[in-house]
Amino acid sequence: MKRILIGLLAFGLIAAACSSDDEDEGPVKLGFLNGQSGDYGPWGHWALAAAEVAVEELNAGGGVLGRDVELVVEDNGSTPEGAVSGFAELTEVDGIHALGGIESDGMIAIFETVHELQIPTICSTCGTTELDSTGGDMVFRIIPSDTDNGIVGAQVARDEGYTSVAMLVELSEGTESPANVFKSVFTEQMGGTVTEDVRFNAGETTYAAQVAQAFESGPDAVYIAAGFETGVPLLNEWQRRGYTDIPMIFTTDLLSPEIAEIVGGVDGASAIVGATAYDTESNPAWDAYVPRFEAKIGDPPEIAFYDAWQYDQYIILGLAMAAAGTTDGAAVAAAIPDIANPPGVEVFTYADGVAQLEAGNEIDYHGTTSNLNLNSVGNLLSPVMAVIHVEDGAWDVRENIELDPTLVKPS
Amino acid sequence: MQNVVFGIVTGSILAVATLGFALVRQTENFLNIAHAQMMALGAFVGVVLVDTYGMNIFAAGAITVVGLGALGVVLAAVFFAPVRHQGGTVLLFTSIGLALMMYAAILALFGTQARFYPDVSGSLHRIGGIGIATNELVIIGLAFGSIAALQLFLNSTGLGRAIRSVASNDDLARVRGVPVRTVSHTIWFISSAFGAMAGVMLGVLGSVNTEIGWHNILIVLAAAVLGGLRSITGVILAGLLLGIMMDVSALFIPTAYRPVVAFGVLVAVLILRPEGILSIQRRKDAVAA
Repeated sequence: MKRILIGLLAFGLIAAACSSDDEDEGPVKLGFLNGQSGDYGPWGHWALAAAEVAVEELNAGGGVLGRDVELVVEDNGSTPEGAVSGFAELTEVDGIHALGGIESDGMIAIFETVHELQIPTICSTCGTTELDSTGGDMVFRIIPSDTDNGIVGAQVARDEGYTSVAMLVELSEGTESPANVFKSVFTEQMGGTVTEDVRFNAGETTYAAQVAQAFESGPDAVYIAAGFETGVPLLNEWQRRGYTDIPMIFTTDLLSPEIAEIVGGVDGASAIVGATAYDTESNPAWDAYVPRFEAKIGDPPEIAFYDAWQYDQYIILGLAMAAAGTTDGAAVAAAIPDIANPPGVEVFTYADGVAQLEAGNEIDYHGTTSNLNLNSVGNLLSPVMAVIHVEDGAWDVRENIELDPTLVKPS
Repeated sequence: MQNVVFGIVTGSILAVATLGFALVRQTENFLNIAHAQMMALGAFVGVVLVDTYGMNIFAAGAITVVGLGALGVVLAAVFFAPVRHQGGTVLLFTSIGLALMMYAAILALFGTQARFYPDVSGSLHRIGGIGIATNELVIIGLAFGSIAALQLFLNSTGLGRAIRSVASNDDLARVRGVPVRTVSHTIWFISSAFGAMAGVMLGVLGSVNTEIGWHNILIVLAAAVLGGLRSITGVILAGLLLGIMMDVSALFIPTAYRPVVAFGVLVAVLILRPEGILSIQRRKDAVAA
């Protein structure tokens, strides 16, 4: 009996050891927790394709630490609840090593858990102002903050000559965040007036009263911060009620093809967005990414559809793991600012980055969306911004702009 | 005044939804929480018929209403009939379970992506500075036409009178030879059809998403209680009152508080004029005595 027990114990130890080896030698699992449905659903197709392009590039470059890379996808339904349950699935069942793809509301919902479980996370599509001062440890953001988006919205309104605006704002973290910054900057720093500030819940039976309240308050323009699911019925109401001669300023959440089609289908209607843009000028990372994305999806990347950020985040994670020499969460998180910031040899692809690291050099990865340099709280130092408007039923970049340095973040 | 028109549109849809809900409450003696999911299902089936199969909105609406009316009869026979003898509490919890099952089925069948009816608003009519779109006129017309047809059916046909007798006292109706099973099937058909119709109307005005049922059940419940759950007229007035109060309140308070307005009105009415609820019990007590 004693021999049997010793045998079983030995078998158990061997099995445990083998299991441990499997974790180290199996594929590196990168989680993709994203709104493939719900408010962010319209961008889901592009977002996933870009993430897949990045993972294909990692594998083509020899994998990460010599191991294959696997993209593990979870749809969070564009809700915080979906983010929490999706993150639990990714960590407890799938055993991911790092996370990307998450949006503002979901990021806030899992922020504490990400730190507890030490999962390096790159926020590719979350602008929430909550991350303006709380990241940089385990969570990093490679897209501009809603503070930047609010400021650039006000800047666009000022540059278009609007002195009064009405606001239509959906009550959610992702939409109120830039809207509050916009209102503060537009009224307190530019001397503009807000004729009506209409806040509403998603899922209302109709938005007739809200739309009338905003558009009939006599504004030069109407600022609309809403998710896609709310934006479509809102704009149907705008069209139905004949307010089409009043220009609109949108937040980035409404930069979808469907919205451009609705606005573009109305004669004389105008919608403009001050938003983050891709870094397309003389950028080898962009030049290398575009044909691969196009081959993947059949269309070139479209501006502000969030796809290029999804790509950049996985290249960063792959390079950080290569630089850290491990998939350990804390080590990878510590390596992220090192590979994204100077000093180091500027690299534009994963393969070049790995080659430089293997040669013993420090690297400074320049992505498709910007130089990706991060500050001490894991935010972008110099995001690329642009004025985007509807042209022939599609979004079109009118010009790249820099944030006005005289406009400051509201306290 | 423009907001009153918005309120009439909202109230018309609410009246249609609440009428189906109140009919079951009155005759089957429980609050059918699954009614809201029938609204959601109606919105989804309608938009699929229009958007995917290119059907005319009226044909799609008619098919949806009739089809889901029939589905309501089947669901009642499968889920509610076997536990009917166990009373209102068991039926209430059965309806909550059915609502969750229907919600899961909607998620599985249609996904979580929002859908939109093609813009069928038509032209905007201006009467004395007040704008109303063609689709809003159609919604008001259909709502009141359907309600009037139901009123006529209940008052002028044998089956309608049988339904009213069951609503008044089902035991007595059974003893007097009223075909209770036929009456029950008819009630479930009408209730579900009205729920589906309200769902299509909600979808046409706004968007179709999986939460549409949960978003509206409390408002429907408020309108049903406010209307007294006893008369068609009461339900119509309650629906219109709530709709107008919610939309007119947008002029004075943030629209995010619309549901608060609805329930504020409900609480005020219950405090100041509670006959809405008590009258049912009084009538039943009177009959029982």
